[in-house]
Formats: sequence, C-alpha cells, structure tokens
Amino acid sequence: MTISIRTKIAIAQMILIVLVSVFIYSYYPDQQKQLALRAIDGKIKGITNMFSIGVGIGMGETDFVAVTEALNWANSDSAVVYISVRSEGNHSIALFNPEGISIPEQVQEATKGNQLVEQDQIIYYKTDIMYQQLPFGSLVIGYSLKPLYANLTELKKTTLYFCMSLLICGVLISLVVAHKITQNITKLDNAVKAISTGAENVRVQVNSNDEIEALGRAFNQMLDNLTASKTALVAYSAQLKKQNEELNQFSYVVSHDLKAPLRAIFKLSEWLEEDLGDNLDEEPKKHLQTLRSRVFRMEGLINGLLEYSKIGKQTFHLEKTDTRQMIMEIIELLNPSHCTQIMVAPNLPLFKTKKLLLNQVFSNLISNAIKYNDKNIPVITIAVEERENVYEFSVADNGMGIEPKYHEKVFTIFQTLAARDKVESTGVGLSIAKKCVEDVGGTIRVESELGKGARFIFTWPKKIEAIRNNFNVHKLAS
Amino acid sequence: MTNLINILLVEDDEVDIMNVQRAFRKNKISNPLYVVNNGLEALDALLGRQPGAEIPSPGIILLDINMPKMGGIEFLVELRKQPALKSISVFVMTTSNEESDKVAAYNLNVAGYILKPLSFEGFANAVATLSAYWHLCEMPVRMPNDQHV
Repeated sequence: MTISIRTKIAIAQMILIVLVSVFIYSYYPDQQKQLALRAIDGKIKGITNMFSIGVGIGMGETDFVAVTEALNWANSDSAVVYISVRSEGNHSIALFNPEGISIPEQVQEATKGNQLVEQDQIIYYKTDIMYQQLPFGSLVIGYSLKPLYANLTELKKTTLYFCMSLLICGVLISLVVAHKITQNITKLDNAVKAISTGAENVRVQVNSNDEIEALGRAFNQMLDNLTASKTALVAYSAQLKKQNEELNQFSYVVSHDLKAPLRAIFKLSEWLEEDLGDNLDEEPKKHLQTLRSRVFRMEGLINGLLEYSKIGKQTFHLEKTDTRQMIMEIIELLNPSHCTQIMVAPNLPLFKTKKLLLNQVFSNLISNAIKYNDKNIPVITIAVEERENVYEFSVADNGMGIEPKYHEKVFTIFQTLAARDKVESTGVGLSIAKKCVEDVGGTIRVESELGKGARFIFTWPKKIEAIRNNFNVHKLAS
Repeated sequence: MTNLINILLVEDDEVDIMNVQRAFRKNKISNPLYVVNNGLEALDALLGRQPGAEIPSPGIILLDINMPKMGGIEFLVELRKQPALKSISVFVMTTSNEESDKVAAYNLNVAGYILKPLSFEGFANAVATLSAYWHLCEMPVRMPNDQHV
C-alpha cells in the first residue's frame, strides 16, 4: 500500500495538533482550578480570621454590633453561604444559612483544630474562635464553589472550542503545506516519467525556494549532462558506424584489389613458362615456380586477413550443437595421416551455441595440432571440463611445443614460429580462434613447453545471448 | 557454324581479358568474343547508346563483379530492367568470394557464379566446362530481344 507524502504530512500534523489540544484541554482548566482553589483557600482563611476576631471581640465584650458587622462583612461575599458561630458549650450564637444547608457531620463533630471539608461544591471550614488566648467557641463558614465550577465549565468549553478550531486550522494548513510540497515533487515525478518514456528537452520548473527547488535544479543539470552525453554518444556511434563501414570496405578492397595484381602475376608467369616452352632453362623455370608459390602464400595471407576481419562483423545464429559430432566432422575434413591418434572425450556437450564460431576454434586448434607435430605417432587429445557457467575445452598434442615466452605472441595475427618455407602457414589460425572465443566472451590460453607438446585451453559460455546488435554491413562494389 | 552465339565479356583487368581470350584459344572456342571494360560500357554497347560501339546482341555475358564506374551487380540490376536484354544468360566470373555478392547475383537470375581459379589451368578447364554447357543448351533462333530491335 502506498501512502502519499501529502497524507503522511497531514497525519503527522494532525497527531501533533491533537496532542497539543488534549494537553491544553486537560492541563489548562485543571491548573486554573488549582489556582482558584488556592485563592479561595486563602480567602476563606482571611474571612475566618476577620470573622473570628470580630466575633471574639464582640462576644468577649458582649458587643453584638461587632458580630453583626462581621456577619455583614462576610455576607457581602455572595459565595459565603453558611456561617455558624457556636459557644464552647455548643450553643448557637449566630447562624447565617439562607439556603438551609445542613453541614456535614464530620464538620459538626470535629472538636479541635481547623477543618477544611468539601461537600456538594461547598467548602466548609471550621475553626476555633480565640480571644486573648482563650477558646471561646467555634466558627463554621461554608464557601460555595458553584461560581468557580461554573467558571471552570465555561473555561473548559472555551478551551474545547479553541482546541477544535486549532485542530481544524492545523489540518487545513497541513493539507495546504503538504499540497505545496507534493505539488513540486509531482512536477519532478512527471518530468522523470516523461524522460523515461523517451521525451526530450523536458525540464522541471520549481520555484519553491527550498530543497525541492535545489533538487529540481540538480535534476535539470543532470538532464543537461545527460543530453550532452547522449549527443556525444550518438555522434560517437555514428562515427563508429562510419569507421566500421570503412573497415568493411577496406577489407573488401583488400580482397579484390590486392588479389587482382597477384593473379595477374601468377597468370603471366604461367604464360611465360608456357610460351617459352623448351626455350626456358631449368633455373628461370624454377624461379617462375618460386614466384608462383610466393603468390600463393600472399593469397593465403590475404584470405586469412579477410577471414579474421569477418569474425565479429557477421551475426552467427544459435544452433543446436553436438560438439562431439562436430569435432568428428572437423577431423574427417582435415584428413590427418592414418597413424595420427585422436582421442575425443565422450562427455563433450550437446548445447545451443554459435556453432560456426565454435567450429572455427576447433578447426584451427586441431589443424595446428596435426600440422605442428614432429612425432611419428602424433597424439591429440580433446577434452572438456564443465565449470559453473562455462565449458572449458582443451586440445592437447604431443608435438614440438611452444616456448613460454611465445605463449602470448602465438595468438597475434601473422605470427608464426616456424619459417614459412618450412611449414606453410599464414599465422592467422590462432588469432582467428582467439577472436572467435573472445567474441562469445570466453578466454583462450596455452600451456606448453618446448618439445613437450602443447595444450590449448579455452572457455566457452554455456549460454549466449540470442540478440546481438551488429551494424549493417554496407559494401560498395569498387 | 551457324549456332555460334555471341559472347560479351565485361571485364576491366587487362590480364583477365587476356586470360579469357587465351582460355578460348586453348579450348578452341570460336564464338565471337566482344569485350567491354565496365557495366556502363556494356549497357551503352547493348542499348546502342554509343554510335560506333554497337555490338550484335550476345547470347551470353561473362561478367566481372568489381569494376570501375559500374560494377557487375549494378549492371545486372540495370540489365534486368531492360525488356530487350533481360533474357540474356549471365555468368558471373569473379574473384569475389563474398556471400552478399553471390546472393545478389542469384537474385538477379544469373546462370552461374564462378570463382576464378588462381591457376590458368583451372580457369581454362572452367571455360571449357562452360563452353560445353552452352553448346549443350538450345537457344531460341530468334532471341526475344531481337523483336524489339
């Protein structure tokens, strides 16, 4: 479930406002009550003191005027609803009880000391009347808290209204603020969505003068950079495409234009030999033959170069490949001498891969193993080891081997370790094998020592991506 | 010798022309051989666009692929567009081993695509086979293109 930022902000604000409201509502009236009670307490004591003094003097001097004054004075506070003065012998001397209140028993029965009892929203205070350090009687004053409670109820109501309006205002403000924030975020979001669907020249307009505006600016900056790098990339890929086309044309030109004069040389030498016939001495005749053999070699080199440049340009389809059967066919095609022993592992995989590329690799490795072998009984072993994501194939021979210092060099195009006059070779076989292996993301290496045979090991992925973007090959006939 | 059809060789390389002529001599092929150096010259000659360079309409064209001005494939495209010329049998004789060239040529209905062997011996044999082949084939007395000329 997704909760929008707006809702989250509103909820958070609301919780905050509710907390504040509850606090105000529960704390403020209560505090007011406490303050009022304290004030009342003081007031009652004041009245009581005044009264007891007045009554004490009045009683002591039998001056009822003072008692009456004291009563009148106490009576002037409308909250005083009960006054009773009793002698030591519990005779009622004066009683002010317009509402006919019956005072609580515990006040009635209390004998000594000051008593403060609250009942039915009236505070009763009982105290001894002293006159010249002599107990004279007792005084009970009832002070009504009704006005106070009425005030408090009023206060609570006002507080409640205040809190409710605070709540409503808070919610509205929080909604507006949340809307302001999310509006800008929505702008960013829309821009991002537009970009991701491929729209161009999209920019964000946020003028909120806060972090979101900064984010918007950063976002625009990023888009600018993106556009710039995209433009650069397009230009680069166009350039690459052009270069690729040029390279294609180059290899085509090489194939035709380099070969044509070669062929002419070859033919002319043949015609020379044919036309001169018996007039040709043995040595010039041999020279003409050498000339032709060099032409053959050059043609081989050109073909190798072409073959090498073709790998990676062509799209090779995925085919179901029975590796063992494929290797058998390669061996048959290479037609090794009958004394050659070739051991092909029985566990070679059957899998879907770029068969033509794998075929090229095995063809080159096996033909090398046959070609560069000085033993009477050449032994070639083809094996495979299964790794996690790749097959690790190996082609091993018991031939003349390769010195470790040449292990890198043998994979370079046109590198041969034997003079071409001894072993006719173009020096492209291993470089083609390497290019094929690397085209599918594998690696190739050789383990060998001079005179101890060689073992070529290469990895080949078990799975190859079916789709591969190749530049269209445009070719111009020269 | 009434059935000797005319052969047009479209080839820019002098030695290759000599090569064909020599192979013809060696195989004692006596069909008249006309030579032009590129596709454009061939079209001009076939359509009679160049006064003085007209040639009798050939039954067979031997065509190279890589030539200046107009290459073999482009020439074939133009040739097949001409109602008067589209029935001519064309044999491509080239050094181009490009798959794309082969596909393009056969799409334009060539009678054969021959890779020129490096040795003259091989080439002469190829020409001999071709000669035997077109001697075997019956050609209409009146070529369709004659009706338009």
